[in-house]
Amino acid sequence: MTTNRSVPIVVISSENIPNKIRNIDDIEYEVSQTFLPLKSTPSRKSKGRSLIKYKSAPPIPTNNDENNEIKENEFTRLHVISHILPRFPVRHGILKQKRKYTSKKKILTEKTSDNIMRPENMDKILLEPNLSNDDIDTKKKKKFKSNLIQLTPDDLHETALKIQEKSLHGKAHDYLMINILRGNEFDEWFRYLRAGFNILLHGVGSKKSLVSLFFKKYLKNEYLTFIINGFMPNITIKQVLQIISSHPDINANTLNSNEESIQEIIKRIEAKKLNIYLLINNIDGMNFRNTNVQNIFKLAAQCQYIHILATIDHIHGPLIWNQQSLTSFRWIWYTVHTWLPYIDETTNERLNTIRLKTSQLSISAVEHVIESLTPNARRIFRLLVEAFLANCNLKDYEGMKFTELYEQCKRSFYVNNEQNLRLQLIEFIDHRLIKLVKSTNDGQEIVRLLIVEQDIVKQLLDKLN
Amino acid sequence: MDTIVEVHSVTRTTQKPSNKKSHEKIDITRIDHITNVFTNVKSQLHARLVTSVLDIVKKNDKFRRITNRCFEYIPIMALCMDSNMSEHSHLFDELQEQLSSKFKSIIIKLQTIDQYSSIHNILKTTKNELNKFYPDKDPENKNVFFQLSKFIGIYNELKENEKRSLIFIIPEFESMNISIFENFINLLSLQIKSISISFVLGLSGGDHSLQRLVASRIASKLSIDTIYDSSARKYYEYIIKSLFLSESNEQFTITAEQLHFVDNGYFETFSLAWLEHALKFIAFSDSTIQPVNQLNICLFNAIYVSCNQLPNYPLGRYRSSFYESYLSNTPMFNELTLSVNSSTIHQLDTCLNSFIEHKCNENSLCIKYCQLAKKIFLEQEQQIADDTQTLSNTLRSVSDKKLNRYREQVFLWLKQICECFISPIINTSTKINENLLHERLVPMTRAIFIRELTENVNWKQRQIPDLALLYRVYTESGTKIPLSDWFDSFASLVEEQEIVDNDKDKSILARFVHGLAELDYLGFTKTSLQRSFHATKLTWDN
Repeated sequence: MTTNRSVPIVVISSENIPNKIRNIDDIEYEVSQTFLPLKSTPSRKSKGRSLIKYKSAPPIPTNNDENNEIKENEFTRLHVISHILPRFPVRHGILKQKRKYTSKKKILTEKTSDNIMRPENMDKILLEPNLSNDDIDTKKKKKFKSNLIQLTPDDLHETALKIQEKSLHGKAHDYLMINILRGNEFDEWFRYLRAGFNILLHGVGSKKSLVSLFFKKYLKNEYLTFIINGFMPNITIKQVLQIISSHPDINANTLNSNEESIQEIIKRIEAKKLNIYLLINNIDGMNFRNTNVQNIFKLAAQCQYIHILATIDHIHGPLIWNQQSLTSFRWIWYTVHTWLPYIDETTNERLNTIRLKTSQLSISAVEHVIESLTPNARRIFRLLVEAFLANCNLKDYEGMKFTELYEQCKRSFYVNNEQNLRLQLIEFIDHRLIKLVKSTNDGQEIVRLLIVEQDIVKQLLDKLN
Repeated sequence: MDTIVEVHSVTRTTQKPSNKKSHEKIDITRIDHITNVFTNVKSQLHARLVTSVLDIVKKNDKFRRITNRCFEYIPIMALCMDSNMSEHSHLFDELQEQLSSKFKSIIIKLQTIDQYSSIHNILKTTKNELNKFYPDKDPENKNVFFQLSKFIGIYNELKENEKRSLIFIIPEFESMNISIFENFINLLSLQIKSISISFVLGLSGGDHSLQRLVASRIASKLSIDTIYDSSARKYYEYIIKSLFLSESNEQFTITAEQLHFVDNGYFETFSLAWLEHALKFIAFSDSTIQPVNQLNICLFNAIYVSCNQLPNYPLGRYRSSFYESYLSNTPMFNELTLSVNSSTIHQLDTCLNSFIEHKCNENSLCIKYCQLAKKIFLEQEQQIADDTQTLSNTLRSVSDKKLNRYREQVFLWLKQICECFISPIINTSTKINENLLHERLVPMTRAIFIRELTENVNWKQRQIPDLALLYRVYTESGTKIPLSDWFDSFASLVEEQEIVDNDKDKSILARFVHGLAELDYLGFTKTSLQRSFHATKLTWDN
């Protein structure tokens, strides 16, 4: 690949050595022989290739006597000659290296204006320690990574609470009523809901506290209300319908199909003329984004006795509905910029961001893995989880001992021998659920669970049960 | 941790009502009125369509009975609805009911996608319907294709009075695969000599929807009757007339801006449901404002109908456009002049007569202008004296002069009537202007969100929030954003506006990661798993 770049060439001519043109590579190579080689600064991490300078330049014997005989009338010229390839085939990395020698290049290009360079200046330039920009970048990145790894989910949670505290000063009610709601929006919302419209809130910031404030002011103790937290990663429409159906005022039968369930609920509500309010935080939540779930909400919205107030956060949220669905919902849109941090809504995302660095899996990934395990494997994993939950509050708890685990498995007939257990544990290791380490206290083998958040482990235990 | 669903039951006792708002009565009479208008208009227009279909079926039936001949083609009745088919489901229910009661027909309605996803499913549905009238004597045979031809064999042996025709109703014809329809027609065309088969198809589009049918390979086997009694514009006109230009007691006012918004919105979406929703919102939100100017509806409708007899629709092609001009108080004399100047005697006569004969509710203005119109009409019928002296050197003939005079009189008469509609309208200030309507009904959520994130005006006195700072750097980045660089920029922006002492507890980093999680959640970024320390940008805005 040819590149039109200037390559500085140092020309030394003398009477004794006529027309000897020496490439900059040669000079630098010679310099490198007398000094310590520079650190290898890989520009790419891939495949652990490190680029070592001067590998391709052949050694040129130094003839010190010859050089010493160079007299005063000899001079070194420095020409910047463009469109000339380096004399020896160089690795791409070295070329890249050379390009990043910004300080050298600048000086060299400056000096070429008068085409004269003093030998002592040249020596200075060549012998200056060179720290490439890459070195600084790498150091910064490493520092950033190491700091990132040290962050825990609790740190992030506390930070989010501090940010919220900064805005609210402890008084959510005042903040929302004075700064956010400038008029009588709550009144309007309540009127529209009662008239058969549905309200949809959008804007920057978490609207969860706004919805709960509206509930406290207008619906608490007056109407049957269901607050659905759509941002939760483990929410399903079936659970929501079950909870609604099982309420004593509605008392509908839970059927197999979701559509039949909602129609049954609507029938009961219409028969009793019971007004119910659904306050849905994040109707565009992860588990609500498919058409079937939105059809269920659409059927609910079309009922004159069901009143929906929902919030939407995702930038592409409204795309979950087509024109027909939008009109079926009868939304009245309100823009409400609370600028409150998304604390509860971003639990999963916060964990994911940190987990990337510690190579842990997200909740959904772990649940998926558990579902794919055999019943026996699940039982063994449950033992680990139960042991973790029982002992997680202890300071020095490293994990369950291998021998202990084996004893328990053997007693419960989960495994016949140690080898089977090890095979099972290897499967868990492959799925990045556990790690086998040696205890710092007594050197025994410890099975450590890689998931450290208690909430998630509790969720897993529920799933396993 | 939050629960999935929080349940809050009613615990209020009857003694102390805690919230007065829940006991305030909400006036929804206007909303109910709008619902009734929509239902009535739909049923009125649907009735016309049903009548047209029944006439065609009757005609075909008669032909078959009298001539004792079968058709060579399969009759198709294509209803060009020109609007969203889901809003006309009642039409097809009504059709089914009417056809099955008035004619001895077996109606097979293919309304779900499953029913017409394949020929097998279509024949299965057909078999189910046929079994109601002609029970299957051999239920074990599961070969549907075979059963149809077997059925025809049995059908031919029936007496004339036992025979019933087959009518297929396909409400959403455009969602059916045309090749499946072609194959089905090919199959049925083998049997049309024995049994009367016809189709009723619902088409959302206009003429271009028919092209699909006409251009198909089976066009030569079909005889297509298109029924155009339904169109988006027609529904709109009827609804506007019923709501604002009728004598009903539940009339409510609408401003020119609101009507303009509704007009634009409806003709973008062609959705009657959207129109209903928008009108209900306007009616409910503006319920406190009383109508100030009473529009003389009788006169309004009469003059509109009369002017439609003149060329080029001087008062607007549609009633709603005339109404909009009235609301926005714009005179329309230019068009009126041009129209009257180009009209013939017959057109002018028809214009006057239609006004004279309109069903008036004894409105004083109507009576006044009726009398004037009669006078003009009578004058026109009298001969003008042939006065050669007054005829100057102009080349105009006597009849031309007469026509011009007639035009002038009619124009003055029309102008007088229109002027009473352009009397100064007291400006009823309403908060439901076009901006608010856009905000409440068709907001640009993404633009609003991004504008809020980028606008610095709000933050002059306060610190810019972290999300806004992060977004600022985000907009300047490429597709893959290195997290360390992003953090550096964020940290420098934070340090500019706050004093942060030795960030030992790494609070800025924590804020950065939290902000990153928020951007992930909002859909702006996706934390890249390929290159761990990069985030992928997902949105690009100018």
